[in-house]
Amino acid sequence: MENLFFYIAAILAVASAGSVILQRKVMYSVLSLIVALLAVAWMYAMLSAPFLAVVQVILYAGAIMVLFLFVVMMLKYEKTEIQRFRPGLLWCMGLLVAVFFLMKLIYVINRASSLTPQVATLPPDFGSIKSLGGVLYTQYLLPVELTGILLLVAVVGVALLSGIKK
Amino acid sequence: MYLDVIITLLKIAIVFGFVLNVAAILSWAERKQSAVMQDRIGANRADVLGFRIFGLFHPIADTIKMLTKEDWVPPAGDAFVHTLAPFLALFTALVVFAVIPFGDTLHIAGRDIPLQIADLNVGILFIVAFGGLGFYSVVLAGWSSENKYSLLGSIRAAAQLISYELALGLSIVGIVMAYGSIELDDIARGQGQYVLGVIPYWGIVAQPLGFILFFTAAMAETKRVPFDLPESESEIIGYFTEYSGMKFGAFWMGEFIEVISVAGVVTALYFGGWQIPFLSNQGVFIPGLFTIPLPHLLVVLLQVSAFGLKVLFFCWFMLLVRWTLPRFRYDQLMAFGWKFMVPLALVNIAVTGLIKYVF
Repeated sequence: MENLFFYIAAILAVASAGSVILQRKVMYSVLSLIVALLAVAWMYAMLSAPFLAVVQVILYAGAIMVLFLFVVMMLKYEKTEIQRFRPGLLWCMGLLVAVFFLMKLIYVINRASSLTPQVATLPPDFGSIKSLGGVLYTQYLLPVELTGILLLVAVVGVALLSGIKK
Repeated sequence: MYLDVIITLLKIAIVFGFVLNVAAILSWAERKQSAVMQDRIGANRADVLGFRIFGLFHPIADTIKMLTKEDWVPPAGDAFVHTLAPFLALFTALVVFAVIPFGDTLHIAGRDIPLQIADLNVGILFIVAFGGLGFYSVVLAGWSSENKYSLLGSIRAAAQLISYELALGLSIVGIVMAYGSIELDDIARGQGQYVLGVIPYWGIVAQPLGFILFFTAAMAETKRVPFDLPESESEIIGYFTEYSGMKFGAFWMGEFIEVISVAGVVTALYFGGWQIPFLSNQGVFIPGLFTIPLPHLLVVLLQVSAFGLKVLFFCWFMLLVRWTLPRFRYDQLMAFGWKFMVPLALVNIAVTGLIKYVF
């Protein structure tokens, strides 16, 4: 049963990720990316990380993709746009990324095939908000606080850029 | 195994049956309520064989009308996304009910059945996550219509939803701190305690400011008056202008379902969920005085109906607000969200933390 759900989620994630780059319309790429992110959230939920799954939905599917969607909505997509890029350069970059990705994929598959699957026993509160919060606010307190300051700087920057009246 | 599946399906059927029926009745209640408040007679024309029963046939007549109308897709627009948007609106509004507990655990024939469709340990965050996805239905509807006014309407809606989602999320933090849990059934159970032995420790007692903030922000999320700038049905044009037939109907019903889901969440978080004051699992219970035992089934039945009644009360209350207040101006709306609600929600968190620390 769990295997079935995993394979549905995995196929959905891969198919929608493929659809992101294969779609001709930008809006469909954005929608495919949302589906891909939701499918990954589904897998997190199955890997006993419900908090990560929900945060994935809230932050990636719910907030970051909103930005993408806004940009796509505001810009009228024309066929001529794509011709403004230099096709040769695009091919070159594409090939580079593809080769790099293929090498990475081969490496990962090679490593994974040599491992034998083991059933890990998890502590009962694994992935719960309480245990995650406990770790974040004791062991990783400094990184959390630093990230908080970084985000605060971003917020202040936005407030400044959007033109508060002097 | 099969019994578990059947029980879950039964719970889904009960919850969604309740929600969809109430949504249909709300479409009638809204017209009747506005009529009463404006000293009119209101919707009473639909009659079947001469019977009118206060116009209660109107929801049925509406449904027949919307199902038989022409389904128009703008030729310049995007047909797939145009069809997807109303489905998303219904889905995101309905899925919230999966985590709302409508009763305590039911013990029957040696089984413990929690009266909640899915007891997720992320609880409230699930509501925030899928409530947030409702944004897409609005934006996609406006975009796929290929109509400048629709697009502008959906941008207004998007700005409003994003602004108030922040206040919504922050106001929930207070209640999570007060009950020490993020799971809705734990919060509802926690509200069965008593302060000073007599006052039920409901969310509104623990978090009065949090309740007002949450309720206001949640009402803004439903996009109804006084926060109805995205649609503004009375003069400017909103994001579902280019919709007809049952697709429009889906947006329309989605709005009523959102009203019920807001009522459900407010009840679960701030008004004791299924709790009835002085009714514990054993029976009528006055702290320190006496206990009158009641059968378990009767108690559960009373609690579930109490939850239903509270939800209906908040639905009615939101209709009341909708026909009482005028609309915000757009800059007022934004300033209210960002400069008033968000700071207040932050203050609420700080004060709650202080109280938690001192006591």
